[in-house]
Amino acid sequence: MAITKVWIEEGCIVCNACEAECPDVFHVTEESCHIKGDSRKDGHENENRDEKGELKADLQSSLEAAIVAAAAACPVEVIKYEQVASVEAQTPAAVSEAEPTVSQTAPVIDADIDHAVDAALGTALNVPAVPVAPIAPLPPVLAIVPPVIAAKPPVPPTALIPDAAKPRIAKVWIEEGCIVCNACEADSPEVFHVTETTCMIKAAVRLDGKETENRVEKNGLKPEEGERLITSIITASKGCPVDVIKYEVLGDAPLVEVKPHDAVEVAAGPYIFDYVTAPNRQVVMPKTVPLPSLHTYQEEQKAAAAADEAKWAKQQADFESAKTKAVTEGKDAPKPPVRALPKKNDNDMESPAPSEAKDPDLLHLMDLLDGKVSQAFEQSGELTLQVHPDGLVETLMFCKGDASLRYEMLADQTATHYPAADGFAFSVVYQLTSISRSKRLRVRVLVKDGQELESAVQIYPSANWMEREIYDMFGIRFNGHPDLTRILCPEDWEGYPLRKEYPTLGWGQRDIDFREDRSGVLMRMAMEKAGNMGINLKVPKAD
Amino acid sequence: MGMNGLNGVNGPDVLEHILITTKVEKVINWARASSVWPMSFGLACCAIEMMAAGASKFDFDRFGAGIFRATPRQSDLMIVAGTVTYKMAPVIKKLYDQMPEPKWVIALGSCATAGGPFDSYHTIQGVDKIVPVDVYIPGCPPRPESLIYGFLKLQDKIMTSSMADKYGEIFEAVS
Amino acid sequence: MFKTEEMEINLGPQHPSTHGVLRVKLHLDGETVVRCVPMIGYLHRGVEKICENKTFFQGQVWTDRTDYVASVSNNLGWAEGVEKLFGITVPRRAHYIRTMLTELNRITSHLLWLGTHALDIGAMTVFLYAFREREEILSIFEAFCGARLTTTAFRIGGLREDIPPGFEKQVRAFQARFLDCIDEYEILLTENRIWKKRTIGVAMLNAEDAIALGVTGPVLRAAGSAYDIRKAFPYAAYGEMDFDVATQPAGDTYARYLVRLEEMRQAHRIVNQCLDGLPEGPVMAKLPKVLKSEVNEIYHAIEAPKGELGYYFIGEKGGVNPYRMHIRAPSFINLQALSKMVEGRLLADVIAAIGTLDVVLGEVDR
Repeated sequence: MAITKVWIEEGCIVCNACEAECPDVFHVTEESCHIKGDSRKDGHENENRDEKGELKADLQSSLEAAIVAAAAACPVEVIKYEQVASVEAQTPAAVSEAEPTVSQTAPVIDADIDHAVDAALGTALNVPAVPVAPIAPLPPVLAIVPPVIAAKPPVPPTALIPDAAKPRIAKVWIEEGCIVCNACEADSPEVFHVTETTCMIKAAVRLDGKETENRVEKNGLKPEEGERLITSIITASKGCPVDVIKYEVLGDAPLVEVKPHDAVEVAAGPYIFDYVTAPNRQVVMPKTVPLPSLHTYQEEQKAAAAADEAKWAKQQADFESAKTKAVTEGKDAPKPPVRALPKKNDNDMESPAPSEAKDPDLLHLMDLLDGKVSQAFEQSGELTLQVHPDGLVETLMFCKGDASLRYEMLADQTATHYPAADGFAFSVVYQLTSISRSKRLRVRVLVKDGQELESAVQIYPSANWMEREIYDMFGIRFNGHPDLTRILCPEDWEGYPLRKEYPTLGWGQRDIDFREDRSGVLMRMAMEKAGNMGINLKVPKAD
Repeated sequence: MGMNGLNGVNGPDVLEHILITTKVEKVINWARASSVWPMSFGLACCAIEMMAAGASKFDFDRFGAGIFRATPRQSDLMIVAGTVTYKMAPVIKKLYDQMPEPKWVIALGSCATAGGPFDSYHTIQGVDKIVPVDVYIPGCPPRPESLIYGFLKLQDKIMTSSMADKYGEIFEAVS
Repeated sequence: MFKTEEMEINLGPQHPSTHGVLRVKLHLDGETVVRCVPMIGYLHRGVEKICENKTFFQGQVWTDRTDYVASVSNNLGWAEGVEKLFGITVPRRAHYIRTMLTELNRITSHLLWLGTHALDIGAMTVFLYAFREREEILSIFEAFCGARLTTTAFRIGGLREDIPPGFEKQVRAFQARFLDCIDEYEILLTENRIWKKRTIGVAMLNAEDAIALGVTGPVLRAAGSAYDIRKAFPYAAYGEMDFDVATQPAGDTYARYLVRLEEMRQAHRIVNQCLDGLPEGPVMAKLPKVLKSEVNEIYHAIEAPKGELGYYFIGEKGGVNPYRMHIRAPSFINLQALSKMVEGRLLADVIAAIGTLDVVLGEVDR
């Protein structure tokens, strides 16, 4: 697949969403959104609405996902594009089939309705409904490509000279109730013209030369046209899903078989929506590892100070060289540089920085645990003690049992996913509270993906549900837990929602549909959809 | 009025003052609309506003709908008040199926209508994916007044419904 | 002669007395509960995941909807948590107004608990009385922020607006009659024989078990432990307030009822002090337009009506969203104690136990 053209329809609200998704193609100005000149063959930079210039060949497939995502993100849906099957794969045979289909956006929300409609469509056409497979490892085919209906073979021109003996259509008109389905125009384009509200009988075939529904006046058809088009009109009439096309025949009407349209093509498009690769389910993975730590903070501060010092040294060196240059040239000496002061903070905000552990509790625990503590520091007035996973149980036992510590309650236990980290994947924190001493302490351990951690249930019974929740949300297993099952999500849930790679919208589990087609609404929608595709749909009779 | 009826000799005049002629269907609809028994089916925040609607200030009982039943088998209105989740969806379907006909559904609040602010992995985007909904009430949560207005709309709907209507569409589509 | 075997029955998730969509699996021996397994998650909406993808300003909207009965407390926890993460100093006047609204919210939460708990046990009238006063407080919230239930009352750094004109009069009018209303509830319940039979000695939980199970709030205080975060780790303007921590030694349902009634009286006291001592000055701290966090990790807990409500944040360098946000929901932890409270007791006491824990399922499942 590749995108050949992309343009902006009228109505852009200059929201910048497209530029955020695909900065290579879109450029949002103050009034409108432009397709960048760099990305286009003609090099112009405008909305591309009228000329529909093509994209550069090398960008056509590489930027496809980004453009689709931008079109999906557009709140007013003015980004349109033309999508074709892969440029390289276009063999001559494929060209006729792979007609460019103007696809608006990836129909994410309608996907399930479409499934239901298709199921109903399947029943109506007596073809088995396509089973809906919500998760399938398919290439990211986002747009539902409507099946391309092969052009109808032209009606063989019969004798052009009107023969009085031959049967012909005297009149044709449209009764009330047209659903504007286009089926008749597909069958007989010379007679019917479907507008936005109704269907018209074309002026070219009528005696009075007007284009109306012909309902009231019932004007006659031109005799030669009525004779030539008799088969197609009868076909159209029979094919009308709401049966509003009526006609009068002079003579014996020929027997016209309405062939069902190529149902195969409808069935050929299993509308499988790939949830994993859908643009709104793509996840931006974090690139940093925001694990608060005194050590990292000190390193950063040192690096920042060194960079600042280097900058100052360079400024001074520049000044010296400029001064000597000015002296040799006999000009005025340049101004000496002024060292930039740290930015003044006039807000009521002072970002808390970590500091050395001074609290007696932390010092006491570091003594007790000797070597199992990775680091201990204070930040925002909170105490953090990071221990090695092996020493976790020991730490918690000391915290609860030691006479000078007495952290009686495990207030909270939770985890954080760090996909960008080296050597560990999760941090698990235990918020301990000492009710008798009004004190809090945070114990933190780092675990690898798949590594089991000792359960804290034996020491703090309140850890029971919290560990189940961590297992449910992150997939961290706890060794020795009495009942480690999912707690919030159902037991058959796939994935661990609070991991960073899990999309907020999930992998499609939420798109369930229990509706029954009791009132026939889904069937009606299916008929309309079929009509729009030019398919004649006959509802099965109840007999 | 009484004088005229008593003194008047002609019979129809008297009858007009005693009898009301109407359709059976209309009487049944009137009875149904005036004593809708909702199922107490609070899911989330909107349930609190539903309780407020039933309590002292708003007094839902005025419309004949104050008897919140605990079981689906005794109720004919399901007010889906709150967020519908993946885990809860089969339960809602089962409860709806247990309610006797005729039954109606009100989707109370934006969560039940379309998922509301919870555009996330475990939230069904609207209860209409599970059961057919008669009245949607927007708001997050809707005020009790909104619920009352929505309920009055439902009463209108019940009053204009006919037994043939409920299944009419099926026959229409088939014929 | 007779064969007896355990029966397993389901309570919920649709049941009038489960305060939402709680499901409890009970193993019964006759009428005695042998085992009780609460099953939750029927209202899990992924609040933590959503908030990790929203900015610090936006996220507060979702906290309204976790414990929807006490949304102002949730807002306070979120706002103070973020302020702690960034090191923001909030003006004193904002602290006072926040404290006042949070205490009013405590009253609404306890009133709703009182009404529904009494309804569960069989006293209908209290429900109508409690909602009468609750509506008044809701109209106070409406005057302040425009919403009755989902308030989003605060901003990071203070308040969006000062209190509106006429607000003080409205609150004072409510304050003037509220103490009498509490007496009214007491007349209906405190010495009511049926009430006492249904609550005294029911769903016992002693302080030791409560602390081991992490139970906080009125349930812990009704077991004799005077742990109240407003006193232990003062936040907002609670350090300047004069109030008592209500405790009861018994540890049963009746004791919890008394503790909550007393808490409403104390809340009334605090609201009065806030009104009387309301300092002049700005209500919003001076902040940059966009808040970008440094690497930091905080756990901030407040005393919500149901217990310790904690917000855990991890900030990313230059991040506008929290890297990780976790809610320590009091209902979630308190619900763990249900099995302990009802095992070995009668089936009818399960309803009383669920009611007395005062769980809100939106907060349990998040």
